[in-house]
Amino acid sequence: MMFKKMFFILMAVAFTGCASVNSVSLTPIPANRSKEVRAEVSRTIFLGFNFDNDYINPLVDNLKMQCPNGVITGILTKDEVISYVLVFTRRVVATGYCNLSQVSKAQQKRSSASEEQILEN
Amino acid sequence: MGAFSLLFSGCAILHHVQVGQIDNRTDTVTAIPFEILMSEAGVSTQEIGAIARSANTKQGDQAAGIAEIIALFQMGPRTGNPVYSERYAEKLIYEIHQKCPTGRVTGLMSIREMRKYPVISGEIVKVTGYCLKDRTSSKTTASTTNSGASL
Repeated sequence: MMFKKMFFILMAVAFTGCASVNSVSLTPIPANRSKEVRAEVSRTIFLGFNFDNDYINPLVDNLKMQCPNGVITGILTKDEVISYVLVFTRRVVATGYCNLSQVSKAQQKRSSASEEQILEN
Repeated sequence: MGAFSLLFSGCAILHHVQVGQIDNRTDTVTAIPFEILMSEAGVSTQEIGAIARSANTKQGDQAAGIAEIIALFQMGPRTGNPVYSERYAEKLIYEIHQKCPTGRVTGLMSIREMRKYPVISGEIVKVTGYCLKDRTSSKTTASTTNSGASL
């Protein structure tokens, strides 16, 4: 019975990860924060053997897919490590705000400019 | 053979990632992806010392002592190993301008990473992003190049 308890305690300790933040960065935050977008990439590394960091590459594309024809600002990029026994997980999380109002404003400007040109002609 | 390939493949260590503002308005522009890589060789005096000491000779101990003295001048917080020129990433902005002459850059992702080999390392700064080009201007440049080719 005692052995079982010890085993479960050890397993709980082994599979509970210790988290640490490597770096955080933030871009200017927009006034309109109604639509939040989030992308996450991660890789689990055993004994520190990692031969490339290509797992980060889809991060921007993931964000872009969530905000078609919009502008993503207020991007908080968090690079963190979750350590287990002999294994650690590197995780990069990016959250931001998709802003479509800027698009409509730009389109309005463009359309009004074209109308003015037509009137001038 | 397997051990050698493992030794020289180099472990990749990530130090920093940053994602900039993303402009995904592609109704009148085309987003062309680009990548810039700048690197410099780094040297680990700690590893030099450890290897010299493992030789178990008088010269080895002396070399390890020298490496320890040099290491005293390289103290302080840093990412990766010390490099000879700390200005290796300064031309980044010119490289971006070369890759994207229009200057309309979006979705910039800056990565600071390191390729670790025994004793030496590759200290890398990588930037990926998208260059926005007007669809109309790209068409005109294409047509001018075509006409130039025909001439």
